[in-house]
Amino acid sequence: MSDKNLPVLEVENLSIGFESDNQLVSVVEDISFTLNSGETLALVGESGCGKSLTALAMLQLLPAFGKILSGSIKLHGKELVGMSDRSMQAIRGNNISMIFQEPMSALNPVFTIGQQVAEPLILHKNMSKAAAFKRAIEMLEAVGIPDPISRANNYPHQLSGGMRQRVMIAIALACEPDILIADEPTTALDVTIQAQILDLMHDLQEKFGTSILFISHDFGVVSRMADEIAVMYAGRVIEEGSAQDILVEPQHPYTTALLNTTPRIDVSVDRLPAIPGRVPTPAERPEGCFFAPRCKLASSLCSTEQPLPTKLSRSHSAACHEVGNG
Amino acid sequence: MDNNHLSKTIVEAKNLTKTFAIKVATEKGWEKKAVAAVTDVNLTIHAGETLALVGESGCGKTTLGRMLALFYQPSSGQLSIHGNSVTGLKNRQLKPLRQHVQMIFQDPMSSLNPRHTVEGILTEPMKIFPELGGAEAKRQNTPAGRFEKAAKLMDAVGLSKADLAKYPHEFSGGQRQRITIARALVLNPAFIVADEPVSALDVSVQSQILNLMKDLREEFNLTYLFISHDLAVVHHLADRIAVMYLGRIVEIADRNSLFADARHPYTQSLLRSVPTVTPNKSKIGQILQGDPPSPINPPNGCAFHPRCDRATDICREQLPDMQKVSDTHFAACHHHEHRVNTDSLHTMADT
Repeated sequence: MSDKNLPVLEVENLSIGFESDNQLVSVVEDISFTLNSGETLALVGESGCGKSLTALAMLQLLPAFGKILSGSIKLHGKELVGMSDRSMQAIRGNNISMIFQEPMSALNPVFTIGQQVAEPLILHKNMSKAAAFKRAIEMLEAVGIPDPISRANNYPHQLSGGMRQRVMIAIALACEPDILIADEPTTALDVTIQAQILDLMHDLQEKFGTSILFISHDFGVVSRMADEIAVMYAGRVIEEGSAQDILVEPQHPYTTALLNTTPRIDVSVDRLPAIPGRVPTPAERPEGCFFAPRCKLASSLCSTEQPLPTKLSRSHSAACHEVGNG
Repeated sequence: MDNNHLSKTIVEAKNLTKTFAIKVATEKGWEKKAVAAVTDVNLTIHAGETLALVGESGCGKTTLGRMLALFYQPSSGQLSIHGNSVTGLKNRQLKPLRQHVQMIFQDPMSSLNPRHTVEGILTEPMKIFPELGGAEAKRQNTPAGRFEKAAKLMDAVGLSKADLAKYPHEFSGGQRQRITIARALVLNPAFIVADEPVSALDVSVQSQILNLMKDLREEFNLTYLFISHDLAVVHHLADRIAVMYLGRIVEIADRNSLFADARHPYTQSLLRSVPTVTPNKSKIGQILQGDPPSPINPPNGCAFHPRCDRATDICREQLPDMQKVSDTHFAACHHHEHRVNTDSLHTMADT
């Protein structure tokens, strides 16, 4: 495990497009971020902002009509864009693994959970079946499955949703990867089970030193997990900074509006300050700043010229014409 | 909410129970069993209030909601809606009562008929109830009158008259939820059961719909049963909150008492599990362990005792009755006098 704060995953100017009817629609535009060793970077945004697509691009698992248009993704300095399928396969599940929102559809219903946790170990670590199965039981124990020896012979449908997500995490961490990508890992779970899974991810990050790319739409969950936060809107990163920067001193009008419109258990308001309109689809994206049509502060400049990220402090940057102008 | 306006009762439920017949696999083959989804629920909902029903998946909140919306007949117990007893009524006898109760569902994709235009969707209830609303309303129940009413409702939910000619797929999720809300209002119901109406929506759209539901409550004198798993949303909208666990209401209180002075250990755990928006990368700690028990084999005594750190012998043997905490606050716990410094429930996570 490398030292803390060393970059593990560096994404630079990544753009992703969809091909349909011989037309190329750009979906994710020019995003950059860095995930440091042992840290958690959260990508936050509403549906359609491109956060899941970005995660899939890290593993070169984009859908058939999706394509990386430009930019680079570096794992420990090694370029992943353009890598052959065979080399990528050695990385998936071994160096970078992923857990998904819906653990029922992500697990294979016809294999026992023990077999599914053992599979990456057999594939990547050249373990024998018996050794891998033994290690799988240890992993099931590490993620808090009670009675792991008999549970290893269970099929996914015999487990509750929370237990299934624990199994997903055991599979993902079996090979002790450098990076865990978690795409809305608790969205399908009840709130008490969500709390269990988030606490488990904390424990495992400490134990294995895993860097986590955490994808979520929920600021509450993100504030529990993240060291760094990148807020996405309509395919662009519009603000980036430490958890403190984003949650306490947000600068981009979208981040501020999104935080204010989230109902809170500790604050009472009569009306939620709603954001009018909705997120534009890739085909509907306007000229200039994508948020301008919904933004209270928008000026004429915003509808013509795309704002570039402005550095506000060493850790904090925001892409808005109004930021830094006072 | 002013207490004087709360005098009229919209819903009264006594010992409401719903069991479903299921087949369970055993060593001897399939065995028929009755599983209780909702057990012994007593509930009064007053005109003009919003009662939230919270709990985790499988706790029976949707089943209870559907009984109150007259979708399911209770297996036992009494239910009266808008002053009419509905216990034991046949479908034909229930029909005239259905105008008083309407439902909003979670997923607006699957709760609108894709083959009907919005006009078709909004005018259909008026065609089914042509006799509704006295002579004046009857005279207006013509194609033109129905169209006008539909247009008025579209306006009330923030959509336009021109949208009436469109089909559901032409709208976004938030707009579709506005259409289902408009549909629920067509027959001027007194009572609306909203089952997770915003959980399929993005945060920015969710707040628009919550604000709309608040506005419509005033405008149309509505009473809501708001079913949700999201305590932050409930905190925003509800006047009173009922917490369910394994088919029973375990705590019911006005909003402030519940959030400030929850007495049932399950409610306390729920509150502790809600993440707050404060930068604090750390474990929540002290959270509820394990999964809810299966309603097929419910535990003896208090259903929560296997997960409760306060459980004593009495909890393992005896089902707790509803205990009065105050005039507006009741909890079904043998140890309900045990208070947690509940300000700390939210702030504990923050410090």
